[in-house]
Amino acid sequence: MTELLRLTDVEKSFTLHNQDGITLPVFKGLNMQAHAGECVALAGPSGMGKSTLMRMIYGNYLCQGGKVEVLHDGHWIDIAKANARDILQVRRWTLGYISQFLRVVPRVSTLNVVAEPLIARGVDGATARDQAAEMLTKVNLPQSLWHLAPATFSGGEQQRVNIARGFVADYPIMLLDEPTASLDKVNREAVLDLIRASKAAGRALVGIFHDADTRSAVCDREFSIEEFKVSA
Amino acid sequence: MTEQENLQTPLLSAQSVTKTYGPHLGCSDISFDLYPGEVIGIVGESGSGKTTLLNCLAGRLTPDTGAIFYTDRLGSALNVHTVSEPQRRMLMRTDWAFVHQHARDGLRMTVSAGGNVGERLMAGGARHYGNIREQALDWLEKTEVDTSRIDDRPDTFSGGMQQRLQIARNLVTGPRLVFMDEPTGGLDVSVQARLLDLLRGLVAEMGLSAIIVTHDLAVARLLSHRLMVMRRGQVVETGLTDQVLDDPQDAYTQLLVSSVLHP
Repeated sequence: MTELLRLTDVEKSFTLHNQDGITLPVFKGLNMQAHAGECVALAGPSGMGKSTLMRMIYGNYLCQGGKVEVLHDGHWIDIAKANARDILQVRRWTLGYISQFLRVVPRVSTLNVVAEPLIARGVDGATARDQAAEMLTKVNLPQSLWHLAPATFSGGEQQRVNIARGFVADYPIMLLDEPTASLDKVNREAVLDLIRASKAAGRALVGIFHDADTRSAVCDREFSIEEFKVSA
Repeated sequence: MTEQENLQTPLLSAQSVTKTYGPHLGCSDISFDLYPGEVIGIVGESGSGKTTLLNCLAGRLTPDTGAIFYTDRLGSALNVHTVSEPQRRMLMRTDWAFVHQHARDGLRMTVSAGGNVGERLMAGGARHYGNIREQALDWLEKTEVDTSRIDDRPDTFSGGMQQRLQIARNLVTGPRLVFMDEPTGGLDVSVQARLLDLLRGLVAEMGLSAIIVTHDLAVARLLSHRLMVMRRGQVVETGLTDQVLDDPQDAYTQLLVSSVLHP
């Protein structure tokens, strides 16, 4: 299997300068890989740093040490050292991230929110919106909502907008932070289908899934952060 | 130069820029590169030197030491503060735009809305009245200013409309680099959201590069790719916008981020 993501000797801690300069260690010496066609579940109890690790892979959190390498356009790029411009390129083409909460510009319609990753790649507006509509259909979001801004949507609806936005651009590597947390059975199944399709298409997925059924339905293996945990 | 090479050459390069006001520090030893299509946000509290820096970058203030280079459309690097006065004025009229916090600093209040937009086109050499008016109308529409108000003076406009008119006036000439000083400052939140959406769309659509000074971290998050945090005239932290805001490393940035109220 082709390796797409490779973490080596990764270390994370938070230093709170305004709270007596206290340092909170998270983990150390962490190694992990993800390959084309597999879905890896980050496992471990709450507070272990699963979301933190995911954010580090995305370049949203800094690493205190180690390498986070992503196969981008045929080359390995170390997110831990890359400059902002390169990280933005990696995010545009290679690395997708579905966070737990949707964060968007106030007035923008759902259809445009979902089309945005494609437009950022230079796809023309009409084509991007067509693909966005297709993706919104897959996650069962009623068409009557497509032209509204998602700010007033329910938690489950917002999450599906977030998922559609994440899957619309076919990133080779996907990070999923509890993508099915606020969904009912039918809608959860729709998301699981997207994950299965991504695996079949040879993408690598790394996810946090609290629900054991979801985990066993789509994940090929679990990666436990616990053994790299540094206690405070 | 090919487009690819262009993207690898900074559009604007600041090198050790320092500006003091007598014994008072404006900004100190600031260096960075801005690349084509990139939006940089400068944040920090009042008095941190961000507006001083912006004015130096835009050629409105002369730094005591250091230099600022701008790469023009032909690929030559121009020293912003040593080019000839006509050359600099030409840059300001065509390649650059400056959006002020207070629209009245960027508009001519006694000239009609259409005149305000047209004036900049004429300064760039446009002469055909019909074309100028057509472009002015087009830009009023883009910035969501009621086109029936084209012949009204901006002093009869609301604050939000004035700000959108200022943006129309600035962007009508298709600049490559836009400087913005607190573009949403002093506006109601509902008006702010509309303006942010507009700015974001225009920046993406026109492939603009921009430097935006703001004390509003939410504005910085929405508009900028990269962030520079200033305190007492110095850059204390810089990086990818969401990384600086979500995992700040510097004590001052941590204080700034943790002081924001989230409604």
